[in-house]
Amino acid sequence: MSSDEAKKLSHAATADAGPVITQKSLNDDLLRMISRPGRLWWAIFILDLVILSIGGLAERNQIVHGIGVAGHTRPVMWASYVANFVFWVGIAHCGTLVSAILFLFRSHFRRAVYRVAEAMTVFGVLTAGLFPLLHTGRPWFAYWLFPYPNQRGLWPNFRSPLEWDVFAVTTYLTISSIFFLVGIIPDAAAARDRTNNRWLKLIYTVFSMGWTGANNQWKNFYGAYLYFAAIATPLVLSVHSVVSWDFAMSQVPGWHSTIFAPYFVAGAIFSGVAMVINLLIPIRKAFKLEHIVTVDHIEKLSKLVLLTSTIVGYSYLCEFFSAWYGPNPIERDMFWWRATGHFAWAFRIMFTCNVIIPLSLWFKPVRRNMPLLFVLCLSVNVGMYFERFVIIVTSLAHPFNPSTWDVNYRMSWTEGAILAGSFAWFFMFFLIFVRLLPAFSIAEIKETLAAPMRRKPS
Amino acid sequence: MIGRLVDKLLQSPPPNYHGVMGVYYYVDDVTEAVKTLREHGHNGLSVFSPVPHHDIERALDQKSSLVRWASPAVSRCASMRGCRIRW
Repeated sequence: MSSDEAKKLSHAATADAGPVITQKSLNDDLLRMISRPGRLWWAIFILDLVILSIGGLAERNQIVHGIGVAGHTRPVMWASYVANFVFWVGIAHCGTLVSAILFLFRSHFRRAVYRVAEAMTVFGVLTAGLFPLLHTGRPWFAYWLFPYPNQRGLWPNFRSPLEWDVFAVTTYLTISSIFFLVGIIPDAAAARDRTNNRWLKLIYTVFSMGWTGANNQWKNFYGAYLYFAAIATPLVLSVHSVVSWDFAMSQVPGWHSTIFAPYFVAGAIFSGVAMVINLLIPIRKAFKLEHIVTVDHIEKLSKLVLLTSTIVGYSYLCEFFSAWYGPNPIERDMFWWRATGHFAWAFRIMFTCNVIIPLSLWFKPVRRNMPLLFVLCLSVNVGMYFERFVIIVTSLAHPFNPSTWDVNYRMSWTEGAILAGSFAWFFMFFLIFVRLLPAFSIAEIKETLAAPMRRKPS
Repeated sequence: MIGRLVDKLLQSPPPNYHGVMGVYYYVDDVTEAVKTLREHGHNGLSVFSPVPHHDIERALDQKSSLVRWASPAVSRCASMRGCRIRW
């Protein structure tokens, strides 16, 4: 290829100085990721499995000795497991936003980042789905959640928001998995055609579904992709709204609020985008992909973090304003206790990490400084975990009846180990994904390159 | 034995192509060739490309995919069937 042709194929969206991207170099760079894993990958993977085993042992301990080992005592009977569930559903939220909504809006920066976000969504839902099972203490009865015909004519309570959750989360898992698998078809075909390992070839053959790149396949592929994007878009709003109704439908002070649905959706996108940045920064560094996932891409994501941070901050203030201005003294007291009582430390961490620290994203140098942005997004995720902890634990610890105002909840090692195990569970899937399937959309990034034209493009 | 099974699964069907294949580097060369062939009455052409291109679609006179209509129709039928089972 002549130098002129190479220039023609240069990456249209790349603002940073970097190597010229061609269709071949893109294949080389992105398929190199799924070559034989190195020592660092194995070290991280083994560490991950060790943490997962500790989480598994904690769960075994809980099954043998009962749910009491989790430290749940009246009145705080929902604690870290429900906080974990909401946290992971929130993390799972961003993938569909990035892949579906930004696709419908033809936002081109998504092309370089959406596959990681989609994978995060699928693995996030798989992680979130563990917690309703663990929280029951008897996960082998999980099928009771589903309305199946049975001889005793027993049905779950369809008026319970917890039952709505079952449908919302399983629908979300189904659609996001299909969306993920549809998007990966052309890239799996590229990997299939390159690999020499027959096992990997078999896997890619299954994932690529007979893809050849023919014009009619492209037509049907984008027809299906558009359709799934349209289906997935309302799910972005509905899933976390339903999760918020787990709380908002109850009468508990601090939970019974109409603002919960938009507040939870914004919070979910906030934590999800922060997690995508946390995943992308090390990946682009480890695999030397700075010229493909550019600082511009990350900066645009960080603007999303800033936007959702302001929405979340506004929601916090609205909650307090409603409690102060409203007629309910119990609600007012609860919010006062939330900010100044026993768990004030958690409230302060939440407010600092979610509202104050992200304000630094107004400054461009912060948005473009990758190590700083990584730490900032990590703090956002810590803050968002504490947000769920604050909402759940403080409201339950300070209900209507003052005789139950007893702060006797503290996180047990079982809960801590299962929380750590959930992260290990998520990263186990993610580490395998990065080494097995193309983590960036080769086909869609190629579309940002100028097509080779002999004459002036029409 | 499992290895042999994998090899068997990966075996492509015997090629059964009839016609002529051309390899082009430039998109406008492809579109020109497609237009010329269609003018001479050759239909049933397939263009294989690493990314889709609107010029290729126009040259082939491709209509929009039926998938986007078929999928809502099937899902509507399925939901109606589900409602009928329920009530």
